[in-house]
Amino acid sequence: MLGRTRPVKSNLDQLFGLSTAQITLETELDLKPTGSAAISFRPVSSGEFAGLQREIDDLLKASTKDAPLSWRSFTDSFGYQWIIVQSSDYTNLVTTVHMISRELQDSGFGEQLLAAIFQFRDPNARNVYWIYNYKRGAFYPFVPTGGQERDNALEIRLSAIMKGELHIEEDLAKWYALWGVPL
Amino acid sequence: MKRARWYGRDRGLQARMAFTMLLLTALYLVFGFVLFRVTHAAFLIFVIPIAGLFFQYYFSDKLVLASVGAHVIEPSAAPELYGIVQRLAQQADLPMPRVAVVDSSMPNAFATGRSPKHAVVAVTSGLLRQLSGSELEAVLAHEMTHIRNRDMTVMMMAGSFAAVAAFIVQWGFWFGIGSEDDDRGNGNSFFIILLVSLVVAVISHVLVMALSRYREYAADRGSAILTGQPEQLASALLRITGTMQQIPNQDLRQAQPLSALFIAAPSKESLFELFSDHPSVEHRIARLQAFERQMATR
Repeated sequence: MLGRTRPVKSNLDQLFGLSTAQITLETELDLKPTGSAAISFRPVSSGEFAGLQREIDDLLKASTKDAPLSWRSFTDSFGYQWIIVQSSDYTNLVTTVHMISRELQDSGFGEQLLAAIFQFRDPNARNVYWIYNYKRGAFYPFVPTGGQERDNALEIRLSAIMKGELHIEEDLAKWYALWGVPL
Repeated sequence: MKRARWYGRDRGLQARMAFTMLLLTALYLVFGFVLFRVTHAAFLIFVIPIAGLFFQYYFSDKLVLASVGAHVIEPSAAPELYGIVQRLAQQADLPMPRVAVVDSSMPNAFATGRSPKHAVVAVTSGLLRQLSGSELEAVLAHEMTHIRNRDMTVMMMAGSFAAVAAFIVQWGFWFGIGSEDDDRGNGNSFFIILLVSLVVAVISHVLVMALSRYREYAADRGSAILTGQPEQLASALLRITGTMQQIPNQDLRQAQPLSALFIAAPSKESLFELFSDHPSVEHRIARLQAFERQMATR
């Protein structure tokens, strides 16, 4: 009313759902995790980002004892920053994404968080992504088919099957695309 | 054949269908009883609307096709469409229905005809344009299930007495004037009939609509079984109603400035469905999704 922007809080609670849902995705839908995931957030100043990078490094060093884990950062053409994590252990991957998201939130970047993206591959070697919208606290599938096209029928099917296990974004109008995911 | 056991039927749906039909029968028995007790002209009152209804039903294929301007097409005119229908007919063990096309940009489809032998499946040109091959197949399988379940006949019978009641409500006034000097027509009987008919018309309408919705669910299920792909019918429904067009192609990063305006859409659950012959798309898709989960976790 008074033109004040009310911050939209990020919700990280539903992220963990993926570590158990991954089993269903693999057994029922033949979607194999590639071991890659990413966190996308709005650009922060380079000084702040340097600090963040150090903190993430520290965090990951502490947690990489039991499973090998690597990460890199990337700035896309929209100017958004990505932290791309790779791990062969899925639970570890989801936990790490959650940990980094929490870290970003705790450092005051909760507002800037855009989405977490988890990469899977179907038997035809096609990329299938599950996108977690922090603001909505919900997942939705994203299946790009080349160019700026996506397979809506498959997306709807995936969401139907995973409904019981993942918190799925119910408003289809919020299933925004993420073209050119740098994974 | 482990599959067939859980596959074919939805007990909850069948129970509700049976219950609705039971209520309708009870209602119609009472209605018939009252009508015959109160008036001599009951027979006449019954014959006119039922004859009309039967006429409509018997010639439903020709009448419906003529009223929407559908033209029956030859196999050579649309070999792909014809081929899909042929395969489905074979799979469902039905005689090959006639195939008609309605020249309309609104995507829609229907089946009509008094029996599988006289059945016609019609689609609009808009449907052919907008749906993919497998979505079209799913919609046609839905219509084929209507034919197989003899839904035209079921709905005609379910609606028969409702038509009588509606006929009396609509025209009873004129009969009432005519029967003023009837020896039994002490004015009261006329109002009783009118009142009873009104009540029966309203209740039976709600029941018939409920039955119709259950038949739609059954046809959705039949389509899912015939094609093995409930998601194709779901996506066809979403496309027909424009829901799928809601999935944006816009990038999340470009949509960001709007994210502060997230507003929860009000749920569209409403009483309207009570008076509608088709269930809402949300409900149909919810069922298809439940069915799909059932298939996936077989």
